[in-house]
Amino acid sequence: MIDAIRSEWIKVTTVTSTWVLVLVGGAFPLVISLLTAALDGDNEFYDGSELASVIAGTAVVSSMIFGVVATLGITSEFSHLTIRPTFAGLPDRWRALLAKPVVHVAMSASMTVVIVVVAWVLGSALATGDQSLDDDGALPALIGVVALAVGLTLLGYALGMLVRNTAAAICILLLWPLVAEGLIAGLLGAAGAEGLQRWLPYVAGIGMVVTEPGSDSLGRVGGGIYFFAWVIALLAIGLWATHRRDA
Amino acid sequence: MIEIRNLTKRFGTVVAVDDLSFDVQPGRVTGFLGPNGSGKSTTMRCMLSLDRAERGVTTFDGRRFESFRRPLHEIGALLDAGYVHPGRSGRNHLRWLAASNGIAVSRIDEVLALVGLTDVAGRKVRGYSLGMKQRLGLAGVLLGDPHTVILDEPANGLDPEGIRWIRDVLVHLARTGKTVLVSSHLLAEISLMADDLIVIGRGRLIESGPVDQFIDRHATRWVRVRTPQPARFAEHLRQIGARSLDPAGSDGIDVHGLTIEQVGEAAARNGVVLHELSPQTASLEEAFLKATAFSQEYVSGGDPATITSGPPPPPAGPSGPPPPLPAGPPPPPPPGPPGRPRTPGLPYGAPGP
Repeated sequence: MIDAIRSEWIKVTTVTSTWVLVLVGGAFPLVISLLTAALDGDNEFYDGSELASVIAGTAVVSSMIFGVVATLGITSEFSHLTIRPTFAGLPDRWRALLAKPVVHVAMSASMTVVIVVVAWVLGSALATGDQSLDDDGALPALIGVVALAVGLTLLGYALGMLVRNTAAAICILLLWPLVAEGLIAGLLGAAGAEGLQRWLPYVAGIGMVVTEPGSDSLGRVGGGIYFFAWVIALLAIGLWATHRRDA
Repeated sequence: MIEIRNLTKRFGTVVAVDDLSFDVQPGRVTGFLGPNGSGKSTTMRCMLSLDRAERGVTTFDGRRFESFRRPLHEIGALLDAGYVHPGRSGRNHLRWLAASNGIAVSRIDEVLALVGLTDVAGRKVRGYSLGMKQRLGLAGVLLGDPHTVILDEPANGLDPEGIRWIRDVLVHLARTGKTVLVSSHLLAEISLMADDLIVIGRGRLIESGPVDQFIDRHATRWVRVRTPQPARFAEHLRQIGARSLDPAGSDGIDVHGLTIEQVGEAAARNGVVLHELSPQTASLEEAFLKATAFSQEYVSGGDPATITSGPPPPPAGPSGPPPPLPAGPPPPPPPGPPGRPRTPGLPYGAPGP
């Protein structure tokens, strides 16, 4: 398994697109969080909860970008058919298929931790108010950001395995939370079934990164478990299909 | 040694590989031939478990492919030189391959030098020519110094020097006891390097065995004669039972149906001067076309001369084909399957166009 992980790490780190995306994903929350802290930090209400909200809100974009990196990691194998030499070098396909998410999850989780820590430290330094991780929901939201990054990374990988097409998989990964769930939520609202909105996977997952989850949501832990149940189900189907289908 | 038994693979209703069984012996180069769409590449993918076979088994020295933990040390395969990420450098492509099988980084430099890509190893693959990609693919094959080498069309895109180089490499590998299976459409190349042949058509085995045996069985043999009296000698040959007499240049005759001894003795008996008397054998290409005549998935439909719509060729001058010899009884058609007759020229005595 170590050989497979090493091999996948080389694959991920030797294409330019990975570094470009990681740079964008890392820079976006840092820039926004620091600008917000610098411009709005003298507000007496700008406490730890406010800073965590800004970091978490912008880090969601980073999580999506890390999901895109994971999608590219598998769909590029199919589009360039490097999946064939991969499996020819690792006939036990499980090793190759599990090594890849290990590498991507390690990368996205560690990057998100760095982003959150740097944004918090610098944001606290720039803001004049008093920010503490003990402020309302600050620490759980920041931990939730890392969990969401892991979840979206695994989701991107699962969609890549299932769809095998870069454009289609990335569209699903991004448009589902940004467009589809919004439309479905609107329809449910119009039909007077607001209570069902909490069962939309991404809405539930977002519950992990808000500082104050609403009373009508599944909550931080409940929403996280529900979101990961979806991710793991899709991941299992993707792994099973890729293991079984022709390469 | 590679053993394939009852391999069957379907794509929907299409049977791509149909109950295929054959062996590939160590210490020999085995050519894997078949018309387009005959199932060669699918067979190779099934051998490496890349395509899931419906039935059948492949073993390498008695072991199934899935049982190898680090297969690059045992089996090196190049199924397509295009299986590379264009945004990755050649060296990095080899790095991830080597890492997946615990191969030392120093070996990467060795194989890069071996295939002549050291100077361009840091360049992204999108800037490589097809020939360079083939060389990179071969470097990947050689990374683990495997006992078995499987190559699908390795000479594609290579220049003459590269083709010769790959031929020498494969023959060298076989002479060191390795098992070498190579498919190619370049039949002349296969005839120069292969010891054995596996010929398939429509997913089924047509023939397997030594190259010489295959050519003996399927290729036409004849005797070429050059004489200053071709018309006179042709008459003598017809009288002793020549099956067909084809012109070969201005003073030559290709004699079918007689042995070289019979032709030589006929010349001596009749006082005919000979400038050449030589046995002729058709190429591997002809043998292949004959053997697979009924298995061609895609058959060209027309005479190549009809492809262009330019003016008709000028009438034959003094350097054109020789005039027909005196008429005799029309020769019987040559043996072999119908549909792809050999037409080297008008037979002597046949009516002209």
